[in-house]
Amino acid sequence: MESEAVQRRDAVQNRQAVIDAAAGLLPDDPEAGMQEIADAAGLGRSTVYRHFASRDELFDAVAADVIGRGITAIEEILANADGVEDALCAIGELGIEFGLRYRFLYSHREEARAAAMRMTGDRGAPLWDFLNAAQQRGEIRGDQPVAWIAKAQFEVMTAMIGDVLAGRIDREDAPELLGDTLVAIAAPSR
Amino acid sequence: MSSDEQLRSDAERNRRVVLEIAIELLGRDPQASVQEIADASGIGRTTIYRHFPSRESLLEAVTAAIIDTARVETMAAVADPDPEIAIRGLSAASIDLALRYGRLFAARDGQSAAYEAFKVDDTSPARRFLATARERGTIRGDMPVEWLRSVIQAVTFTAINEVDAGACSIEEAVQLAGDTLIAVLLAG
Repeated sequence: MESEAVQRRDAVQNRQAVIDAAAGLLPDDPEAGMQEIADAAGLGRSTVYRHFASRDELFDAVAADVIGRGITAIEEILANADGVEDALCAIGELGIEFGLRYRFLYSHREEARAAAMRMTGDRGAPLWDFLNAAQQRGEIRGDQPVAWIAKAQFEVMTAMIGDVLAGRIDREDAPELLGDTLVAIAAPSR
Repeated sequence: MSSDEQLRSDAERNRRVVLEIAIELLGRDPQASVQEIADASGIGRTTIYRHFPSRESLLEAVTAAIIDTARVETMAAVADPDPEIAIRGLSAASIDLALRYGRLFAARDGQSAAYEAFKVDDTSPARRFLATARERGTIRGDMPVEWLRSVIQAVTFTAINEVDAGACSIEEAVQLAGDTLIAVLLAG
């Protein structure tokens, strides 16, 4: 008989497999049902339902997973960036990619916004600390609070995702346009 | 004045009063009821319904009137020939309008023919100002007007959120938003 530890490990793995399958399937097919998601995860429907009682519950878990991956990706960008401009452009590109790819999670935008605010809002938040250090070095404008700069950048990024989705801005033009705008918001005063 | 004329001018006056009160109440709280508007205007519900057959038609008239106000105020804000003053004016007017009518616009988003038309209107004062200034080379030419307008909206939204969250005063938010928009929009 399997030990409890093994069963628990399998359960955790299965749960993650369902989330991964949903996150992989839903961007191209937002209407995909629980059966299709189960098939993609290589699991039975009943196993999926044991972890997620409803589609809504699964969406909640996928949203949390995607937001977590976004945060990790931004932390990686900040750790490896070659200067502020480089970091802002990379974050802009990531934001557009995530925003478009996971637009089926639009109903969870408030959670995403809250997560973004935690990254930018105050001392100890990764992006705030990064921008604050850049401000100390005189690499970004010193006459505005870091939280304002970061929040304005977040809203501008959200606007770009909306403009691309609405067809007002071409997908190919978006990263450069957004990167230039994010840099201009932060740039030292002329 | 004949009695007919008297009736007509009373009716016009009533309509104007209802609309003025409705702009104030619905602008602040889009859920305000026709009864509340009747109470505040001193005009009976039946009379209000004679001018505006449904709550929706009253809401739409209010939306159209607020859009007219927004046009007039925005046009005045961008009138200065100095692009920096015009950009600051546009930013301040956007914040002011959003603080006064943001709730109503949010409630009418996707519901109102007048608002949908306004959103895509190429002749809106903000868009005309941006297009003209861009041609003159006073604001940056490497970004489409459509995008510059989105940036203004996004920065306005940031300012409103900061004010709502108590992070700064309205005056500070206007200053911050103006500074940010100058940095993005003004030609280097």
